[in-house]
Amino acid sequence: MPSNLPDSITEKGRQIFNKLDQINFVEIAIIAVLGVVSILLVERLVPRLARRLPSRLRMYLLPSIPVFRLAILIITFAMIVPMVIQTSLQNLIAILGFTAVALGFAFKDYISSLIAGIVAIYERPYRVGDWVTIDGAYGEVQSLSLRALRLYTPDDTVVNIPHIKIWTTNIFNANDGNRNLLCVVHFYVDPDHDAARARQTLHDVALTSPYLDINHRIRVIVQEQPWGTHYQLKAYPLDSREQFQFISDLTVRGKDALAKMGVKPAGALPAPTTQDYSG
Amino acid sequence: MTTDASQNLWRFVRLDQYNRPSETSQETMRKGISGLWLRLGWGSKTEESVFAEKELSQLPQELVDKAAPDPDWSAPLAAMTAVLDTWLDAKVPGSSAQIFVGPPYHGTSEILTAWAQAWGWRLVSAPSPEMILTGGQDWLTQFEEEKEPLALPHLEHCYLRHYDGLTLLRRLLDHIISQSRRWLVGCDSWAWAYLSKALKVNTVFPTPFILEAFDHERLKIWFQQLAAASGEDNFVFRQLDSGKYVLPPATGDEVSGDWNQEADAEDSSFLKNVAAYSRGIPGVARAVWRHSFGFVDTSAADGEVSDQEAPAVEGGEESGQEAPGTEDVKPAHPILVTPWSKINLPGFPFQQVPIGLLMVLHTLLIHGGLWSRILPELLPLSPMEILEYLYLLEASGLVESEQGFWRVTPAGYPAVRQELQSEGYLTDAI
Repeated sequence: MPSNLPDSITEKGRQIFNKLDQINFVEIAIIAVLGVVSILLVERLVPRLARRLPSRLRMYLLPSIPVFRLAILIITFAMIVPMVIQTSLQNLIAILGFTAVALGFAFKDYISSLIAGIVAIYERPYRVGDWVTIDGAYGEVQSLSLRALRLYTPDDTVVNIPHIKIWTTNIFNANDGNRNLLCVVHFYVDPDHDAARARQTLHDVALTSPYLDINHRIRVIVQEQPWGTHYQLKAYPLDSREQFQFISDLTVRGKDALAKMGVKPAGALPAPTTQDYSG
Repeated sequence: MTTDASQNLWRFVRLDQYNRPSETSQETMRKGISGLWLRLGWGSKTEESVFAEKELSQLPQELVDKAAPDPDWSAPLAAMTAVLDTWLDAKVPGSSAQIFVGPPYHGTSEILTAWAQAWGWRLVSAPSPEMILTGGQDWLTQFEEEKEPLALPHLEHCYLRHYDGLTLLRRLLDHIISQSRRWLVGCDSWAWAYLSKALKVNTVFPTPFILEAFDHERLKIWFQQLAAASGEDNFVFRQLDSGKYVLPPATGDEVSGDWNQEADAEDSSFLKNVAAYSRGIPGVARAVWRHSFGFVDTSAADGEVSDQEAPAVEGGEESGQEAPGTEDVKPAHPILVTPWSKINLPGFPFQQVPIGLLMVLHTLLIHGGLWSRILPELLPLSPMEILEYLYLLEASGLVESEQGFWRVTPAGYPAVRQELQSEGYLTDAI
């Protein structure tokens, strides 16, 4: 069947691509399958290994997943391309240029997310194991694919967020690659009480919590408000995964301690404000 | 055995000079590989004995108690007096208090108690947990009037990790700082680590003293002394696999002819491993030592020493049989010591230890043991959960209880410490 394409374009194509009978499709398929299997293995084995190792090592191991995946993709791509095209600088530039223009128009946001995913690997606005807030969603970063990240919220919900968000949205990272993150517990009490004693008691409440990372400083902030006294108890848990248990423990024991002192809850509540889980 | 080591078996040093015995490189490698193997779930901890079961029998508890009995903690009194000499002699001491810290089973409180009794100092017993939670004003009144010197062997029992559990200790520290009387205080190293962070007690006391770590040389001497303590029996300790001596046999007994210095040097790695694993803590080392008495060589006791189990004996009196003309010689009990790599010490029954279980263990350690009735006050767990964890740990040999008072076992202590450390919990400095 005669081709409708001009002869010059057909000729150019012949110069760039290998002849079909010269391309070893079986070998390409094997390499592609190996690449996919390697990526799946990394995605399965590294988190498994991280769970079995001490939790202090978890924060170092999990963020390495996207780096491994990118490396595998580059190696696979680098092995397959020379099997399909005739490798010369001119041909590579032509192919890449054509691909970029074609895909750029068709999948602008998708490509942008992929590029943002690569940038995210180096800039590290978030890593696996970090607790982040993106567009109002708060949770632990479970995994990073090239296009999006998976966030696991305290409400047992998984949120997929494309990396493209890093161009336009503020990323709030509560622990930034560390095990620890600051937890804040609020107490709203009646102003008629011994504030110095209450402050010391709340300090001791944090100091005696079994979840506390004692190597970090405990702070108690006191603010007088029109409706009463506002205490903010700030401390770090041993492990960021225990932040909600830590907050609950501080809240329960803090209320108990203040009640024993005769401190009453505030009569009127402050006006509601938007409050995320990180406090 | 060196004379120097024998003379300095008990010696106190400042806490910052404490040197923990280090692991042999062979053991580090073995632990690294097998530890990774176990963590990945690809291995089993149990290994088969090199001997067939029928050739071995369990060492009777009575013999275990005789071979490694409870130590006599009055032995180190002279060493304690030596470090306190200047302080005791001074008319106006630079500090009103001296403190001795030590990890669990280091004998710190026992030595301090024995010392106070020998010197006629009044011993102050710790307040009850209920008293601590109410501020302990009644308990503190005993320190207000008299000026006699006091010994408080258990500072770790004078507080609770509870928002009401620190007041009594703060008041006690005020007493110690403000009074001119002498205080001799003992404190568990875990409590010391917590209180140094929480209440800065390390600024109240001078640098603490600690019993110097028991390295393999000290252990060799000490285990020999313990085995000879009963004065009735004569024990011979040999490796289960090779039959070589782990401790040199007592001089002058009927088996001394078999003693081979060269063989002893080859087997010293066992005691080095015990010293490193127990972190230089004598009580822990003793527990591990007792754990290694897996079996007694009954065939040897009957005078049937096989070639495999024991090397040739010069003089021939290796077994319990008495040689003609030696009627007054003590009976010999050959004890087979399990090789280090095959000792089955207490460990965690999980690969991923639940956080509640770790919290129970950490709470027990920083208080030097606790009554089960008080644990629900200190932990965000229900009493049933706590009991469940305690019984689980007890079944694993990691904790033990005596009339409701729970504490980490000496043999389980190294495993517990390692797990808590790897999970980022505050640990002692020892």
